[in-house]
Amino acid sequence: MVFVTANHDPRIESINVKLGEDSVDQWDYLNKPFTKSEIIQKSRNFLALWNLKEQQSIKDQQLKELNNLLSDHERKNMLAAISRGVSHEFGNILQQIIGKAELSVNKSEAGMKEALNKILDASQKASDILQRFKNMTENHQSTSEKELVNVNELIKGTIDLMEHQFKVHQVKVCVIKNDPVFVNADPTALMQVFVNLFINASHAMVGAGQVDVSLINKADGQSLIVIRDYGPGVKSEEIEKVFEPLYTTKGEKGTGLGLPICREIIEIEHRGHLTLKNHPDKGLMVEILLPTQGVKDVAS
Amino acid sequence: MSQVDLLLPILVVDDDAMVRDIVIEYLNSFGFQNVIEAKTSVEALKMIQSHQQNIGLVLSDWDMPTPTGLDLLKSFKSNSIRQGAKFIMITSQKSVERIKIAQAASFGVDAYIVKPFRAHTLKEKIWNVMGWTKGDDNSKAG
Ligand SMILES: Nc1ncnc2c1ncn2[C@@H]1O[C@H](COP(=O)(O)OP(=O)(O)OP(=O)(O)O)[C@@H](O)[C@H]1O
Ligand SMILES: [Mg+2]
Repeated sequence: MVFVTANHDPRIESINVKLGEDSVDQWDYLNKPFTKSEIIQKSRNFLALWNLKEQQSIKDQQLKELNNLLSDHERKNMLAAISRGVSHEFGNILQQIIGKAELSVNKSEAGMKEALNKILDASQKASDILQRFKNMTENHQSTSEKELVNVNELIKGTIDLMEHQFKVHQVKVCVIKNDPVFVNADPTALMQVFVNLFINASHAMVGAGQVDVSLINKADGQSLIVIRDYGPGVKSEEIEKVFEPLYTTKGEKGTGLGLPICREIIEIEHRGHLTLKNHPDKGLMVEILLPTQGVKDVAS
Repeated sequence: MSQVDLLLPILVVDDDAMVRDIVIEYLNSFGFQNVIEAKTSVEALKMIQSHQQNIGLVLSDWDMPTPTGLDLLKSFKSNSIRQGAKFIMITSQKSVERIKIAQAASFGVDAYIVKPFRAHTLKEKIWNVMGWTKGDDNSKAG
């Protein structure tokens, strides 16, 4: 934008104050009277500058995208896993709806009524699943927005969403401690952490297994989330290694991005801590510490 | 092309009770009188391996805890007592299950059907794998 002003002795500083530092590259001035060529020159300069800025911002964008690629890749993996489960569930539900409808056509009124009720139930279930799925896939852009999150609900939603995976891997999930836990977090990112950890736990156990979840409201203003499985755990000399990007013991099937991304989300994005410990009896414990969101934190 | 055999023993395997019931109801509506069900894949595997159990056709879900549908198929197709018997797999979604379908094909699956399906699709698949001519029956379902 080129500024045309009749202000008396307008110093750059004063205009800057008026428009704010941020728009410093969006205006320029000419002292009146000015010639046509001056206007054209100013405009040209300005356009060039504008283009440069634009190019810079495209470059920035590309860098940002590159940075996001890692987590995008991981997200897609997770989404693929979840959507397989969801599509299986949807297949079953739609089968119920179609089947009930088709089979009830020749039935008595009572039979039809019963079928209609079943169809309604199934439709409701389908829309619940869709809602959950939408919640997790929407606003997953890198602009992570933090909000007050009830971790109890988020964990429950994640477990519901992964019902099918747990079934296929024969994993029983037990919430063994369920203190009300509230944190200031990006719920989608947090859910991504839980999904990754749940998938790792399921992979770690051969045959039937169990995952214990504890949500603990600690007295020191921290919230502790523990996800424990009953697999072989991780050898103590490998406990840092598993956080290295691309480190995997799953061959082709693993990307080795799960844990590093979990750590990044918890420690960088949320200023918490994520640590691995072997349970004294059996299995791996993943401990997540996050600052509890209380009234006193809102001000800061 | 052979005659439609409504006494064909058909084993239906699905750990989702609702879906299983619907498949069974479909089969009954086609006129089949000898439908057997397995509520879990473990139960199904026992039936497949049992010499006492007569099975002419299996309709099995794919995505089940071990033994999976693929395990059932392998066991079924490698068992000499099941020679000539057919196996139709039921999957949820074609695109994401392509690998599974390829796997199943290599183990001799006779057909696959994608959920959700209509009665006529199921009927067509069964008639096809059994080598029955369509005009052979006069039931109206499908
Ligand atoms: N719960 C666990 N029990 C035992 N070992 C684990 C557990 N979670 C992770 N590991 C080990 O840490 C490695 C790295 O895990 P990470 O989640 O980063 O990648 P991955 O699971 O191998 O691949 P992906 O997450 O893409 O499936 C795993 O390959 C596994 O050896
Ligand atoms: Mg992983």
